[in-house]
Amino acid sequence: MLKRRDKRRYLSIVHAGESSDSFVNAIIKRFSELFGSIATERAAIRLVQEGANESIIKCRLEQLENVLVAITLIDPPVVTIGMSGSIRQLRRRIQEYSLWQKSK
Amino acid sequence: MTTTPLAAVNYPYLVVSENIGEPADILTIRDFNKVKKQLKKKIKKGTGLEMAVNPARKMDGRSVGKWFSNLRDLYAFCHSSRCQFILSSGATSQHEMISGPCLDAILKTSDIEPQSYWRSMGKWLEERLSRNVSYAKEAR
Repeated sequence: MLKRRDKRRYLSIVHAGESSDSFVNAIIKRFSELFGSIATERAAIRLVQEGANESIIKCRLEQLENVLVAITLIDPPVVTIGMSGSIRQLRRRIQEYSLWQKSK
Repeated sequence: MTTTPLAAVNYPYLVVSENIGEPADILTIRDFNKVKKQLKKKIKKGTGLEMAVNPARKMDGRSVGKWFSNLRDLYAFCHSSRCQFILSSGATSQHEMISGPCLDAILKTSDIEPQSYWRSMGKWLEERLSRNVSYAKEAR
């Protein structure tokens, strides 16, 4: 039997400058509070790329809805600006977003 | 806006209030269970009942669970009383804004189908705003 790799999603997150570790921990904590420890492990929320205001995290596709709920309900608030199945596509979208922000 | 403008205006507007007794397009609900009885007596058909996500950020896990239950109850109430259910971010800064997929995820968690929510929301908004714009056009 073939063991297929789990599908994942990369999420780009804009935050107000707090450290990436702190908001990833806040997401994991909120997720655990709302959906339980087993679901938290299944979600496999990890920090992929750290930036001053923008960071990228990844999670398993099967838990994406719940991860989005947890992201929405953390304090201090963060904004999800993009979501993709590949990190290259997500980076392209972030670039477009920053160009749009500069043009404003 | 918190009150209807006294003079004519040439832009669409919606009146938002937290007071159930006041005439408004949108009523902001903080705790549905507390105002349920009052709402049943005083609410007008077609009014928008808004619940914001912002206060839930500061709550602990258990209270967030209750908040979700309130959200579901408000949706059911809106259905039965022919009011418009509105889920808003309650944002006061750009960092508090919520993206579409996140709002959809919250709706799905509350057993609300996002597609039907956005469809009815669009219809309601168009109808409400056109009413206020026509008032402004007449006055011009």
